[in-house]
Order: sequence, then structure tokens, then C-alpha cells
Amino acid sequence: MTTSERVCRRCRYFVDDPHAVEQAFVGLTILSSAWGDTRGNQGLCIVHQQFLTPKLTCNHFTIRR
Amino acid sequence: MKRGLNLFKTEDYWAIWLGLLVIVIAVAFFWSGSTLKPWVVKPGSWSTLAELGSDFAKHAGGYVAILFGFGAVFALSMKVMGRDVRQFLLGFVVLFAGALAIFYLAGWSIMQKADLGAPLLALLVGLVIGNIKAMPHWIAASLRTEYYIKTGIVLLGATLPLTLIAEAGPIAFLQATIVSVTTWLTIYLAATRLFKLDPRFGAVLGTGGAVCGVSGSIAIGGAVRADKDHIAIGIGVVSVWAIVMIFTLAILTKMMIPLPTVGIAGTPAQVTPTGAWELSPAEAGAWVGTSEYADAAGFAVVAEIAEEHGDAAIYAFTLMKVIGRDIWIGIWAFVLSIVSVVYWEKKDDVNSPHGRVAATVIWERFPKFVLGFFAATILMSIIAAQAPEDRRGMAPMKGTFKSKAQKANYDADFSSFVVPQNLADRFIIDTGSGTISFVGKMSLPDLREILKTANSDQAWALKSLHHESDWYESVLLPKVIDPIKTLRSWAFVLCFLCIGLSTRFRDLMTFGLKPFWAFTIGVIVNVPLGFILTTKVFVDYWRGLQ
Ligand code: SF4
Repeated sequence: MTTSERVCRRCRYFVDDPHAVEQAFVGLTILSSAWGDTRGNQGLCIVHQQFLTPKLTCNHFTIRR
Repeated sequence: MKRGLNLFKTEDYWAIWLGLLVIVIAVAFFWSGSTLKPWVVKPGSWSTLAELGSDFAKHAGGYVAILFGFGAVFALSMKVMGRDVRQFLLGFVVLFAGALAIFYLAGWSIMQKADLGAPLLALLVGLVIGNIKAMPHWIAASLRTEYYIKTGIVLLGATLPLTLIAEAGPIAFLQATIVSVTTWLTIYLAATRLFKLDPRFGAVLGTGGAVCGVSGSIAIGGAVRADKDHIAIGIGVVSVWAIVMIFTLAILTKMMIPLPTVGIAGTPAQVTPTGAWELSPAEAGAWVGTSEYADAAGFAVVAEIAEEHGDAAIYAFTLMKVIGRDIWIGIWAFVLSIVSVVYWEKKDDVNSPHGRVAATVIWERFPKFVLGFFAATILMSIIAAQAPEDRRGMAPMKGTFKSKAQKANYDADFSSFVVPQNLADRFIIDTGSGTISFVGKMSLPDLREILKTANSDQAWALKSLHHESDWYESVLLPKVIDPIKTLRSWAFVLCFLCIGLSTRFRDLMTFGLKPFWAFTIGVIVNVPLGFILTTKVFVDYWRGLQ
């Protein structure tokens, strides 16, 4: 796997499913949505507990199955 | 995700498809010599149960048509986006019934005396129910606030003239930029310098207050790699303040806008504020556009104003909030992502998430539904320009004049009427058929000129003729624009009901005092700044907008 493929988008610790994102943030749907373009493809890293864009990486990367 | 599939994977794109579909259907009906109007209805006003019953019986078919029309497209979109359609549909039927009940409640004479319109009622009723009992999953599945408001905004595009965007757009952008930058800096500095919060947390809070509310916090949260808890707190603070501001701004603006008067053509005249604390409806809309945090929350205020004062407040709000603030979120995300990498993050830590955010984020975060809004505006402006040049408006000498402001029966005698010399070749009196007609569009100065020698009955007939001579007002508006506006009202009320039903203050108010006060300082700066810019600095632009 190349370095450019070791990104959050492919990592098993990256939660970018819109439904899961809405579950993770209480109240998000009151005035916004995880199915909108402003959230887009960003997601939650459950290792670092940070909200991230999908093209980052770190040493904890583990391929998503 | 493939680009083609992307066009059907977000609510932004579905709002575009649904909005444009409605507009195309409305125009297709019009070109085939018909109109959507009989099928696109909302409740009227009533004061007795018998009146309510007869209004419901008259409109029941229309309600079913709207429920099926909206329900079918929303359900299809849910299916394509990979969601549970059955749950959504069950919830949507209940939500739609709730919106219908709200419309009827707002149409009750007692509510009209209390000056409570459907937008605020939907929010109030929703908040009461939502805070007494959490919504079951199958109803929660249909509470898609942002989806409904985006659909409403695309439909709104069909009713907002392109020339208005060209004229007031640059001013809206300038004012919005001044307010956005000032508010962002205030909240950011208060958060980081005064309360020693993490700079990325300050950026999340600042963008929530300065650009586009919760969506802004989410967009920037990802760009600056904010902690999950910081975003969760940002959502709580922004949502609570947005709801507080709905009621604050709605009450204030409704008190500050003078009651509408009647103009020469028998339609509501432009409100001209005289006192320092008086606002025109457009000024109110611009102020709300600078001082509300989320689109849905701001539309709740201006839709309430529009119930009594017409659409000027909605237009000004849209220019200020959607065009002036929302569409720049991608640029904020890109700039702050660079600031975050350069100044805010720990260097050389390979265990932390690292990598640069590309400039493509400007497009990725762009709220795509705005493209649908522009497409609708352009489409309708092209259609509105198709008015036949040799159109001859005609009005009966005996009939009823009816506008939003006035209604009168008249029986005019034009046999010895003296037509002004300069209009003699365009004004035709046909006593045989009992009609008067006018070639081309009668301007207000034309009407003023003809009215000089008219008696009372003749004046009503001439006002009718003035209306009939305007192709846009007498043909396109009732047959195409009004049905689109009605559907827009449905989308808005569905949205406001969703805000109320999905807000549970107990779940939201889990934030500490530091982020709350940092945001509150931003509010204290933002609200008066928005008011001064709107009513003093750029007053000529907003006061001139109708
Ligand atoms: S930051 Fe690391 S652990 Fe987290 S999702 Fe990205 S690659 Fe995976």
C-alpha cells in the first residue's frame, strides 16, 4: 500500500457514515445535517477523537475491511 | 465516491432536483394553458368550526397531492442516500399532518389577532412537544430540518428577481463580510485570550457565530482537526443561541416595522420608516441576515415577518445570509486549515493526524443547494422576460377590485371620461363590451395621470386595469409563482416544526460557561453592529429593496 493510500478515508478508525456522524453529535440535526455538503466527506477519528478531513493520516492507520 | 453518484448522495443536490422539478412542472402546466394552483393549497383563515370544516373539505384534495408529491420525492431521495424509507415515510406523514394543523392554528382568527404566524407557531409547538417527550425513532427519521430549508430556498430562487441579486448582492456581500470577520475575531479572541480555550475550539465557535451556524462549526471543525467534544459543545452553544435569537429578533423586528399602508394602485405600499427605531421589512431581513446563525433559524424570523409585510424581508435575508455569508464557508475552511497547520498544531508528531488540506476543500464545502437557488432565479427571470410586447390588459367597467390590501365592488361609467392626451392611443374604452383596456404595461405615473379625472368607481376600474396590464402580476404570478410560493411555505413550516421537535434543551445545555460566554460576547458585538450597518451605513440599499 502506498503512502497516499494510507489515509483516514481508508482507515477502520474513521467514522464517516452520515448516520453514525449524526449519532455521535447530539443536536447536529436541529439546524444542520450530516447528509449535507458542508459536512461532506469529513468524519470522526475514534482513536484521536478528532473531526477530520479524509485525506490525512497517522501512525495508527489500519486498513478498513 | 464517483462524481456522478455524488449528484444523488447529499441533501444539497436532492434539494436542487426537487426544487427544480417543482418549478419545471409549474412552468409546464402554465405553457399547456393550465396552472398548478388548484392542487397547491394551504389553509385559509377561519373563526368558526364550520368555516374550518368547509375550508378543509375544499382543500383536502390539494393536501393529499402535496403530501404524495413531496413524500414521493423525499422518499426516493432517502432510498438513494441509503436510509430507511419506511421509517421516513411513517414519520413524514405525521410531520405533514402536524404542519397542516399548524397552518390551521395560524389561520384561526384568535391567533391572527395575537399576531402569531405559522412559522413561529410551528417552532413554539414543536419546542413544547419536543421538550416534553423525545421523538420516537420513526418520527426522528423524518426530522430533516436542513433538507426542508434547502428545498425551500431553491423554490425561493424562482420568486426572487435576478436583478435584485445583481443590484443588492455586492452590498450584501460587503456588509456580511464586515460582520462575519468582526464577529469571528471577537469570538475567537474572547475564547482564546480571555478564557484560554484551545485556538481550534475558538475557530469552531467563531465560525458558528460568524458564517453559517452549526454547519459552519462542522465544516471548520474538520478543516482545523478540532476535538470531537469541542464540536459537540459548538453545536450546543450555537443551537441554543440560534433559537433564542429567533424569538428575540422576531419580537423586535415585528415591533419595529410600521404597519403597511395602501399605495396608489390599491396594493400594499412600501413602508417608509420615520423614527430611529423603525425598520422597513427589507432592513429587518438584512439585520436578521447578519445576526442569525443558521439559515433555518433566520428563515423562521423572516418568514414570520413576511406573513404581514410581504417577501422583502425574505429577499434581504437571503441576499445577506445565503449569498453574503454561507457560500464563503469553503474559503474560511481552506484559510483556517492553513492557519491551523502553521500555528495551532503540534509539529513533528506522526502519531497525530497530519497532512495538508487541499484547495479543493473550497468546492467540497460549498453548499451546493445555492446553485439550485441561482438556477431557479435565472430560469424564472428568463420566463418573466417573455411578456408579450403587444399585450392588451383588459378590465370590466363593473366588477370587484381585489388586492392583498383592498377589496371593493364598483360600477363605473366611462361614457364621458376624459383620457389624458399622452395616453389616448393606448387607453381604449369599449362601452359596447363594457370593458376598458390598455396597450402595454401601465406604469404607476400612467395610472396617476389617468386617475386625476376619475371618480371613485372609475378609480377602482382603473386600478383593476393597471393590474391586468402587467403580464407578470396578472398572469405569471398567480399561475406560476404563487403555487411555487405556497410549496415554499410548506417546506418552511415543515422545517420550523422539525427545529422545535428535534430540540431538547436538556441534551444541548451540557457546555461549560467559558465557551458560552465567548460566544455571547460575539452576540453582543454582532447584533448592534448588524443593526447599525443595516439602518445607518447601507440604509439606502435596504430601504430601496421591495
Ligand atoms: S487519524 Fe490515523 S487513526 Fe485516525 S482515522 Fe486517520 S489514519 Fe486512522
